[in-house]
Amino acid sequence: MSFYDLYSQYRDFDFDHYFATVDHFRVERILQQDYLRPLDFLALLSPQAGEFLEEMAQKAHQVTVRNFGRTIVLYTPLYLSNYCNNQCLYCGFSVRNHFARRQLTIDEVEREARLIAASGLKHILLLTGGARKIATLEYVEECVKTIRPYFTSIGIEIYALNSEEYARLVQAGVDCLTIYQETYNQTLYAELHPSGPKRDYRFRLEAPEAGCQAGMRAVNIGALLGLDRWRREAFFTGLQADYLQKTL
Amino acid sequence: MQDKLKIADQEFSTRLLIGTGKYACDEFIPDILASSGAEIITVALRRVDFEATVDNVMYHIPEGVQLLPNTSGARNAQEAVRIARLARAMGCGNWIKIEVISDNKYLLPDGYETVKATETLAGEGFVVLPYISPDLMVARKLVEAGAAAVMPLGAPIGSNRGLKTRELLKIIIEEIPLPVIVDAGLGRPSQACEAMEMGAGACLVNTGIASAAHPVAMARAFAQAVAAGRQAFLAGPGASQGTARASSPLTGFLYEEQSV
Repeated sequence: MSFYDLYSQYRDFDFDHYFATVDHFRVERILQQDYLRPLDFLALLSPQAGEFLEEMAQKAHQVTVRNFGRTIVLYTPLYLSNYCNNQCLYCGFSVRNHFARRQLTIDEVEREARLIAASGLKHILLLTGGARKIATLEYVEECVKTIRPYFTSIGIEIYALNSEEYARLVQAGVDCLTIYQETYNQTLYAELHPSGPKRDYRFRLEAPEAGCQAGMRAVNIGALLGLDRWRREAFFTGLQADYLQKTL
Repeated sequence: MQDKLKIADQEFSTRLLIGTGKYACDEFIPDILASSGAEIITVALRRVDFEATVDNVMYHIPEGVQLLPNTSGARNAQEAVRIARLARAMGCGNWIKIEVISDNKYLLPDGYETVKATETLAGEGFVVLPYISPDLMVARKLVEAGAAAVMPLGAPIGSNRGLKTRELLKIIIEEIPLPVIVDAGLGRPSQACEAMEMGAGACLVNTGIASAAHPVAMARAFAQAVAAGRQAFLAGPGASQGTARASSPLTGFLYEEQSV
């Protein structure tokens, strides 16, 4: 079962009806649990759970410290190319917007990498716009190989790929995949992405699991809150994280 | 006679091992080593890049400490073996902690793959310390496979929950003729103390120290707790009663006649 299949089971879920059934006793009990089921998580996102914000923050902090220690990871993004062939309604890179488009040469990429590494940063995130025919996979691969000696960790945030293509970039030196899920609401997603390859909801939604299958050491889902109702977006984000953890 | 921890052909005076993960700064590590008194330290070698010019955690580990590289990141025996060979080729020595974890939710180890990796690596001359769930059958297979110790978990990695698996740990300590190093889940010094009182050979602590508000002080606390627990084990604790017993209801009559 892919995440799209799991998502489909909840796509038409009646969130408002469910929230109405959550009382504060239930929230208290859930906060005592060690592990959450999806609907437990959803109960913690309910309006009633708002009065437990401090308790949730404390528990979340403890989980974070246990899993990651007292650390903060600093990274910087490096835009390789801003050519795009999508028309996402919310984005400045949309092909309908006219401004200077640029793609860095390999030499320019190396120079940027050297300067960034000299500042002490060890983690870098490479980004491109959606124009795959210009910022080709080969180009991204060559950029990765060029900057690899300078960084401990290289992430990518580019157009969605399948697992073979991600594996190729893992081989080149990428260990971290970041991909933004602007909204989990499939209907709204179609309205926001009228044209371009990014319009394929399912392909993008399944990019994180393709990354896991390809051997990415870390997968970051950039879930935006605000285009659809945030409690639902947060729920689907958690559902996807749970799916990735259990399945892959 | 000194009470030494013997692993393979080496002897150690202290019984607390530490990890190097989850620290904000690798520069803390020498201070943690000093306050913990640890003589063995684990290091993850997930992505070894010979061409990388960046800083390496191993630059912060002083000489004289036994390095125990681990195969963290390995999802099966083949990957664990590859990492171990890389570690040795990099000059990390021939000790290796096998961690084979394909479960991303609880981070529980795969015993079957761990045994396979142990067989291969012990055959290549490695000193193998495998990390496992406290499964007696897996532990016995590891003894046959040539492991130098066994490292059963007290609770899932990073959970800081203590000796949730204590009943199974007791069995392993009782039955396995190798040093038993309780690894994972020790969140408080009292838990490490209890593990040592039970007869464990040593404890490995990472999250419990790294996530403390003052890791250097916590490392010292763990060291003292491990030493205390070991002393208690050697001193042989008195028998404890399950319930209070003020008189001898069943056998008291045997002594009543004599007092008459």
